[in-house]
Amino acid sequence: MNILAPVRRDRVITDLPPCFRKEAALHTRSSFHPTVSSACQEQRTGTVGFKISKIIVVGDLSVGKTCLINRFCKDTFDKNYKATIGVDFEMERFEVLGVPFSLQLWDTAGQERFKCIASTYYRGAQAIVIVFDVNDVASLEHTRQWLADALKENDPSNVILFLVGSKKDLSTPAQYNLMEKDALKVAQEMQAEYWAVSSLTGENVRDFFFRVAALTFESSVLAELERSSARRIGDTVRISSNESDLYLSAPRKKPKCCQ
Amino acid sequence: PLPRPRSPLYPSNPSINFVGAMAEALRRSPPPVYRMAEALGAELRRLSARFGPDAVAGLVPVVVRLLELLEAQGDPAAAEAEAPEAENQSQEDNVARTEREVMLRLKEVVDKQRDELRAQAHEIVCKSRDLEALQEQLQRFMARNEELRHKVAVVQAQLRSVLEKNSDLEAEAPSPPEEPQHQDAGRSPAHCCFSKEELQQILQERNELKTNLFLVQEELAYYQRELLNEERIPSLFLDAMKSTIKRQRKKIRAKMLGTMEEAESNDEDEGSCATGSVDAHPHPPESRIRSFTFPGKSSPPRLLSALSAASGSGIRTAAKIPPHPAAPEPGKSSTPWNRSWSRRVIPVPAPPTEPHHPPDPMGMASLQHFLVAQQHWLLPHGW
Repeated sequence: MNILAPVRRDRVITDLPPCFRKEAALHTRSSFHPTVSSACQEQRTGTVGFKISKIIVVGDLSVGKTCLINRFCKDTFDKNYKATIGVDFEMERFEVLGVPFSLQLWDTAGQERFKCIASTYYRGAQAIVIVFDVNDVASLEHTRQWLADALKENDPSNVILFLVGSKKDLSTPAQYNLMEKDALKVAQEMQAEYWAVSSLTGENVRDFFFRVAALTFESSVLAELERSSARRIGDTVRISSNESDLYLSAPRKKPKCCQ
Repeated sequence: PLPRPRSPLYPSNPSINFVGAMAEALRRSPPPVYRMAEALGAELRRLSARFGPDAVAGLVPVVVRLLELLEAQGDPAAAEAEAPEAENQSQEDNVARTEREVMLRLKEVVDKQRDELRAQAHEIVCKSRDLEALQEQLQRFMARNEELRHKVAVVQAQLRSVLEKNSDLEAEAPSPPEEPQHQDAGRSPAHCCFSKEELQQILQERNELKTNLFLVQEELAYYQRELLNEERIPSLFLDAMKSTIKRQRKKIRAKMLGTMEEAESNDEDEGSCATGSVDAHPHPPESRIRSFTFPGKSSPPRLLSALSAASGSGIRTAAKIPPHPAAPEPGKSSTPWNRSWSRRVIPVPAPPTEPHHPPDPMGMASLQHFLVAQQHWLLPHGW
């Protein structure tokens, strides 16, 4: 029996949602890590049920960070631009593999004058979502700086990155394809997973956040299991490199783009 | 006709040409004269050869003239022609005279025209001087005009900006009356801005409120679920409860946004609530949701304040609790309290007056841990 109320039926994740582009994905496996699946089945997830993963959303002003969050959390879209003051957050509750899991989506201000305030909220993020406008090359170029700023407050090896192109509906297929080439390049440099969405039409918005929830859940459970197993063994340090999947233990390379 | 003395042959060099001139005269003369002329010519040539051409220079014209006269006497046609020649001479004189008169007249005309031309030229000089002066004046005026136009443009721009400022000030005007004494000397109402610290405080407060909202919504959802699981609860009561929960949420939202009118108007609806007990407690609006969740109590334990009392720290200070509170297993510890709470809810339609047993401490502890954990995760580090 869980103290949390059950989540909405449309926030239940039973299978790992697929990535958007294989060229720039965190991993392209089709299902959850077997350790995670079995831990969830056996209800060995520990305190994950209480856990809320912090997601920060950064990017240039008026690229549509707030719209993206509002489309997913409230299913609304406001055409009028209203600058976010400092930060805002939305809660979104999921049930992943039968385990309650919440995302706290921190919407930050893109305006330079709020940067000093917004950046104090960067710390402790499990995932960083960097948004750019697919119709504005400059906003894509600036994503490197946004990433660098966000990583200053976080451990680069423990954080999942997403590069999200917004306002896809405003772009023609030809224009979009050109932009996607550049965006994939940037995403590969950052080792981020690339997505392209439209908050106006809702295209890919739900899929994107489900992917974010699933991947943060997966890494969160794995981290939890690693902690508890280390505690069980006591003084012995467990070498995890004999795991079947090496992506877990391979240390994340430092992104090349923000030295 | 014989060559005239004014012909270029004689005056210039008679000594060289006299022989030719005599030959010419002789050629036209009658035969006796020719012979005499030839003899004279031979004599003269001899003299010339002997004493030089100058020696006969004076003689030749006289001889030529004599021979001509002889020739004319010897030739009757030539003699007749002598008279008209005199007439011609006089006619020529007349012509010369008239020519001279015409020339004089022409000269007069020419002089007059020259004077006129001189006068006109002078006039032109004067006029061009005037023109130059006028052109200079025109240029001065044009420059002055340009200058004035520029000044007008500058003044117009200044006027426009002053008008804009004026309209801005007018737009701002309504607000100052109530707060002029609060304003610092350097700050106008329009430029009243928050410091970074103030903004951070505001954001923190907003975040706390939003967090509380989330927690309260979770609480409500939780209670709702508990009630739905309890089959003994009449459906009429459930509907009423649900609608009340909805209203309460609206009310909280209205309070958070500062739209109290909406909340006031909703109060009236609650009077007709099926539970009947909600409005019985004269508590401030903040406590109503708690009084509803513990509807049967005459002194309802406020859930959050009870939690605060139990932990020694209020809900707002929960974030300051160390980062890894020992969160208990959710299932085990929460179950007994849930049960007891569900049981207590049932007699609500008939409000009891006697106090009920206090909430199960284990259940409270687990809920408190949950809330503390939530607070910890919800609020950013360092608050």
